Amino acid sequence: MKDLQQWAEEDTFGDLLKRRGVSRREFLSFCGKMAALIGAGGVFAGSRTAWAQELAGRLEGARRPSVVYLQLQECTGCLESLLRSASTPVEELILEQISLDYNELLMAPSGEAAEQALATAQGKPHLLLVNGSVPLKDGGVYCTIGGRSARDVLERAAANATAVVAIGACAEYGCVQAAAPNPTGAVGVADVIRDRPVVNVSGCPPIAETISATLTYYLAYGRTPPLDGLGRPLFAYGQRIHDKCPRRASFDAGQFAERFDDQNARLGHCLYRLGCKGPATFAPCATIEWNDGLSFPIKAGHPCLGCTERHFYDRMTPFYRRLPGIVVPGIGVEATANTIGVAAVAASVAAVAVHSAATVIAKHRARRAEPESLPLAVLGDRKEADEKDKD
Amino acid sequence: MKIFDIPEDEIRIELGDPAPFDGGKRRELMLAAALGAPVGTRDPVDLALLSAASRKEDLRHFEQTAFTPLEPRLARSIARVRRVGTEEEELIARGEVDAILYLCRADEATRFRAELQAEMRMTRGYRALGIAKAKPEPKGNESWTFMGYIPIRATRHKSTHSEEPADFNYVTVWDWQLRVLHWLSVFLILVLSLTGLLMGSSRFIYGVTQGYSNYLSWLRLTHFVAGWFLLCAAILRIAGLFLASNRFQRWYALFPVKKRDLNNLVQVVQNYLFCRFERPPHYIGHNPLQQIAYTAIFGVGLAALFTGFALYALYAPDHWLLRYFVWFDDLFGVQYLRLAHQLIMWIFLAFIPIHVYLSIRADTVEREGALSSIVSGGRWCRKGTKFEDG
Ligand code: HEM
Ligand code: HEM
Ligand code: SF4
Ligand code: SF4
Repeated sequence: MKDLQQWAEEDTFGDLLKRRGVSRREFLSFCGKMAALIGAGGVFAGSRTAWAQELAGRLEGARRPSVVYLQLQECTGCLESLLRSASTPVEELILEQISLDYNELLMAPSGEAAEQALATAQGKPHLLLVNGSVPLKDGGVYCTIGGRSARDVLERAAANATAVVAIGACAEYGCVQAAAPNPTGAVGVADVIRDRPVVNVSGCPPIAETISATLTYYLAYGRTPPLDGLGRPLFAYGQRIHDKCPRRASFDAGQFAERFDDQNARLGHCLYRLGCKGPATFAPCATIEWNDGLSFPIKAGHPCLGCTERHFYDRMTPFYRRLPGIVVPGIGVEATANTIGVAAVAASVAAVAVHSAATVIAKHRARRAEPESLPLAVLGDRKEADEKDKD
Repeated sequence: MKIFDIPEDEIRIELGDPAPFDGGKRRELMLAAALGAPVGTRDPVDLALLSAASRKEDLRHFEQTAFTPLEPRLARSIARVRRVGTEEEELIARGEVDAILYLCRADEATRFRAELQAEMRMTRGYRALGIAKAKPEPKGNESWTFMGYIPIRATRHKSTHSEEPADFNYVTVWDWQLRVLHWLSVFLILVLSLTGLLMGSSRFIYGVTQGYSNYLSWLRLTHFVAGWFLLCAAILRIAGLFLASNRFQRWYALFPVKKRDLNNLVQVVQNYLFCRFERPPHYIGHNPLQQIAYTAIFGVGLAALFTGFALYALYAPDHWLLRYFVWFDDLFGVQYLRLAHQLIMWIFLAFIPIHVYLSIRADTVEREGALSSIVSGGRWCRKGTKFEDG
């Protein structure tokens, strides 16, 4: 008997919605939310309402995609984030459906059956979602699934994929595992799958809505959304935290919390001096916020760590300082740029002082070293030749 | 009386501080020394004495009525002079301090003091010219008073380093465009450093506003506007490297590329490090060390622009121009870019004292007027100096 809960091959998404009892109102409000979200980056021209309607129309007619969702070297945090996002019934459906064919964490089958499911799914055209990095060192022994290295698993799954979406910082570039010294040689999906563009949904983890919006877009349009230079969907990553930050006014006024418990922190002033990386971080946290729009770190009083930027473990640290320090070679002492700079200026002034003193001394010496006076006629000296003549 | 085979213009006469005796005045001593010279003398020492004395006294008030030239055995000459319009005459003797003291029949104490002093002060090749005066008396009866002595030194200088302005040529080195660009850049860099420092420091910010203002925004705005202007200045300067008609400003004046310049570089460095006393080869434009320093500072300036605009690009990564700087952000990470940007400011700030010092040094120690050159555009070059890039 046909499983009414499931999205069958011949169904459109609209059929599924009806069967599952999702009201038209719920569906349209979901489309409105997605339109707002996707439109937020300024990627799409035109009115949001028109956009929401277009999205609704397309989504209703969408056919069930075959989806393979791999989890490679990772912490499962990204999938946890995704699961927490099921705020509306429609979103729930989309997320439920995309993990249908193969996903280690969510699928019912296990063992041989799971491998079988994967083999079937990746034999046909499908959408490939990936969590986690691919360790390349030592033949990839650091992450194997069913006896195959992560790289092998990924390459097979990608062979017939119509689109590849890397979800999370691990899948984008390796995240924590790839931080120096990167013991497992972890790289992102795009470093392995080089023959086609990979969509990178950045973040550690990404906000669930950015993931579902990316998938919604794919469902509605059958292609991936416009990307920025790092392969991130522009609608979410085309905006800078700093530019949408609720604390921006105090940044502009020069009001900064200096410590987490000072008066300025209590007043909700900008966290720049506590190391906020918002000015360098492109992410939608400040607009979408987390956990169904509940809050996000800066709103809650914690500086942004810059987790959607590449190599943030190496490059955005120290997390609670505005600028990294410089380790003085040999001593291992960390100095700030300003300490070093002041020292350099002092050294330069000192060098000038020493050099001018040395100039005075050298001039003096040079004068001392000058030869005896030439013969002086007024003192009775005569030309040597004359004297010889006389002798 | 010409006693050397040295061209006159290579002899340099230096007069030390006159040492008068018995409460005499320096000025009188100098005057006596000058008046003791034979009329129409060509001796360089005499000329130097005359010129020194004429700065204090009008020598035309005196005339010489007789002169007994120096006799080698006595080692002194005697001149008889009188003030114009008067009858009173005076005898002036010049010569070795010993001989003059003998003439004066100086007592033991004066003699001892004079000789000892003369000996002690006659370092560095100076020698003492003793001077005495007397009222004219019938032959042999004069009573001479020892006036003192003047240290004198004659040295030979291959290239004459006269300090007289007449011996300099004025050479135009820098076009006004370059000078304007230089001072514009100096101004901009100072503004950028100041606003940059303030932007990065809350201590200043609270001191100024206690919050509630757009203080930081204004600082940033100033910084960025100055940044854009610096970009313009850089573009013009770079264009000038290729377009300027002034050859001291063209690109090949920037790098010590020629073999000759590389050799000279060693000499210039030695000179700056006091390993070498002779003057290094002269340049009208930049000597090789300056060439390197300025090329390096151009590089630092470009790095400031690059890091600055890469940071600025974060505001609008899609901007038609800024998009070309964005890739720079991903190279090392934005934080390290910030760090580099700040360090570059310190490089500038450390460069300024040295740069200014060397410029002032060129003006005072080397007397080549480089400091004034960046203001007026030209510099004074000694006549007869050979310039490597002249
Ligand atoms: C000689 C030239 C320059 C100097 C000395 C200078 C100096 C500085 C300093 C000290 C800071 C503060 C860094 C910090 O503490 O975080 C800064 C920040 C900045 N500068 Fe410059 N700067 C120069 C040129 C430029 C240029 C040409 C631009 C391009 C528009 C620029 C754009 C920026 C930006 C965008 C920041 C802000 C970085 C941030 O938000 O943390 N700078 N600059
Ligand atoms: C940030 C500050 C400064 C920078 C980056 C800078 C840079 C330069 C550069 C690159 C030149 C070579 C001329 C050219 O090819 O464009 C130069 C020449 C010169 N600068 Fe500066 N300068 C700075 C500040 C100053 C200041 C404050 C002074 C004076 C007090 C000064 C005095 C001079 C002089 C005298 C020259 C000509 C030197 C010569 O002919 O050898 N500069 N400067
Ligand atoms: S990106 Fe972060 S949250 Fe996601 S799997 Fe990697 S470590 Fe976990
Ligand atoms: S808290 Fe961070 S993101 Fe917000 S204004 Fe301050 S620096 Fe920018």
